[in-house]
Amino acid sequence: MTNQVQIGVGLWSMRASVANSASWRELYADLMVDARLAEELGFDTLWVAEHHFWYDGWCPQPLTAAAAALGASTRLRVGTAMHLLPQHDPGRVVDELRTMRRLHGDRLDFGVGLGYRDEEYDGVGAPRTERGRRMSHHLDDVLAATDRSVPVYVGGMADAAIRRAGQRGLGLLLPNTLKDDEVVRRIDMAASEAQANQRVPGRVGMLIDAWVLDDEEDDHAVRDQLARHYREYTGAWYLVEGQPMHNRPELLDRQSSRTKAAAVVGDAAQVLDGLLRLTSIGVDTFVLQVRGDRTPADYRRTMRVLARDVLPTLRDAKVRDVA
Amino acid sequence: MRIGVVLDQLGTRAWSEIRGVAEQAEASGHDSVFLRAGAPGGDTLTVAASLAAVTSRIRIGVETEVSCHPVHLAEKIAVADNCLAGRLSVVLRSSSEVELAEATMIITEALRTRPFAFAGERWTVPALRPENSDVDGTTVRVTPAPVQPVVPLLVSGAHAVTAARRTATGFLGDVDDPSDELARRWREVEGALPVTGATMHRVAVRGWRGRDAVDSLVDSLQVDQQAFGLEEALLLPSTGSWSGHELRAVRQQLWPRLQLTTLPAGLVEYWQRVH
Repeated sequence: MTNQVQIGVGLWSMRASVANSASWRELYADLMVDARLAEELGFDTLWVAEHHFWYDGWCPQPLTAAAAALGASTRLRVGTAMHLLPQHDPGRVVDELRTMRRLHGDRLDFGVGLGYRDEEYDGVGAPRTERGRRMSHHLDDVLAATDRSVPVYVGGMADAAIRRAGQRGLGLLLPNTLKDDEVVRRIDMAASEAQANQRVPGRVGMLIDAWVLDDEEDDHAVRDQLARHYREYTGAWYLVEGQPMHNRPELLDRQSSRTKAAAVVGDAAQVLDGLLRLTSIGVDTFVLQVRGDRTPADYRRTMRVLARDVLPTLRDAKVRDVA
Repeated sequence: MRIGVVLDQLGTRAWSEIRGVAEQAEASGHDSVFLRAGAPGGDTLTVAASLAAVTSRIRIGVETEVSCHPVHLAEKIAVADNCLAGRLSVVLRSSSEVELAEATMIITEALRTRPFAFAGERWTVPALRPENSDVDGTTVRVTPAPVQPVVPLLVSGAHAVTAARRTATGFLGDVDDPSDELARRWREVEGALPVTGATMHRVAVRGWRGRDAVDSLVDSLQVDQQAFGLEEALLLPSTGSWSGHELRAVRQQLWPRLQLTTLPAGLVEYWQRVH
């Protein structure tokens, strides 16, 4: 049984980055501690992420990490945001999903995304250019083999991703940089596709940077820190005319501006207002990004404040009915 | 000699049973729990990661099929070893001789935390496909590194000896393999690898037929040790499941008798009286 509004925290990407130096062993130990904390505090879900072959050890196999978080908890849901399904062998994924369902019940939310780095596809011999077709094929395999027993969310904001989710009655996981009207258009498109295919529209999830300021913190400095967090890897991974975007700082600046504007930062009341605005346009599943490059003490403080001052009201919020 | 306990048919067992056996085996002082799938829905690496938070010391061994790309399998191993803080051991298995040998080579390289490339009959890493034109470089480096500098890796199944010869990797003797046959296979592997073969970890699954059969099991394990240098015996219960009582019996009645060639007279009888 799930609440009308699902409130989760993310993203546990297990990165031993330059900005956040820690041993991988500690990061994975923290994952299990944090799963228990999230459960104690009343969050619905803890979300893990996936990328490959990166210097900081970005978690390459989120279902394995999710299993550790599930084993550490008893009620908490654990989600992937995202599992890069087109890069994987669907048969193995199905066995992992079945194993988790058998061991831990209905506590996994399977968020899937395409991924965009040629290196990740090439490392396992798959053509990135066929990623959309592979996603549709793998998704259908997973849905058939699991009898649709695992909640699936499709990540992304392109029309093809929204249609893919809608046609199958799957949830959405929208990125943090969309404006309200852009979110509404995608929710309505997914609902329309679902209805045309005799499916019930899935949940509407959104990843959103959420930061409750303490007395010492400055709004602008926090937004700058968030922008730096994304800038490091997007500058390295996004290519423009074959060159990493770090060589095109004006493009990165534009992206950073959107990141800063989209973040929900402020005191607890302001953060609550920002999230209630999203429920009013149809978002019912939150991945509140509390990690960034912050220390465990810092993000755990934010988790506690969110649990105390935001969760009780947000959980009972009215969500726009898209049906 | 180390002693581990086998949980097979994972795809049919409930989390409460798996967790209970692992916790009791750890509390009893055992060296390892060895997980075998045996049925769909029993992905052993998923189960191993799930056990990370409910165990703290005991090693978790997994037998896993090469059912995905070996680079992804290496990543799953690295993630699971981090979850387990360096307590993972892995046995690879495949119905394909080529896949077992190539996967073993790729995974061994991938876990060494250094850039590598591999060109084989089944896999090429990186593939350097023309469609992936933005690939920069001709190698792959798997991250994160596992906690252990060298994750114990063995091969098993029908193609184990061939793969062991090709890859200088140890193989798992199975429950019905007689001692003299395993000794012959080890000689075959060592003959192909006279230097490196001596460093391979030697593990076999052996049957546990209850407390009344401890004497004969001690004898047969000592025969294994002398015949082919058995280092780790993984015990498969003849009843199909473990009770806390039996796990304690293995630890208290079998394990001590395998640590020395002979025990001082009267010690075994003393234990039997006290425990």
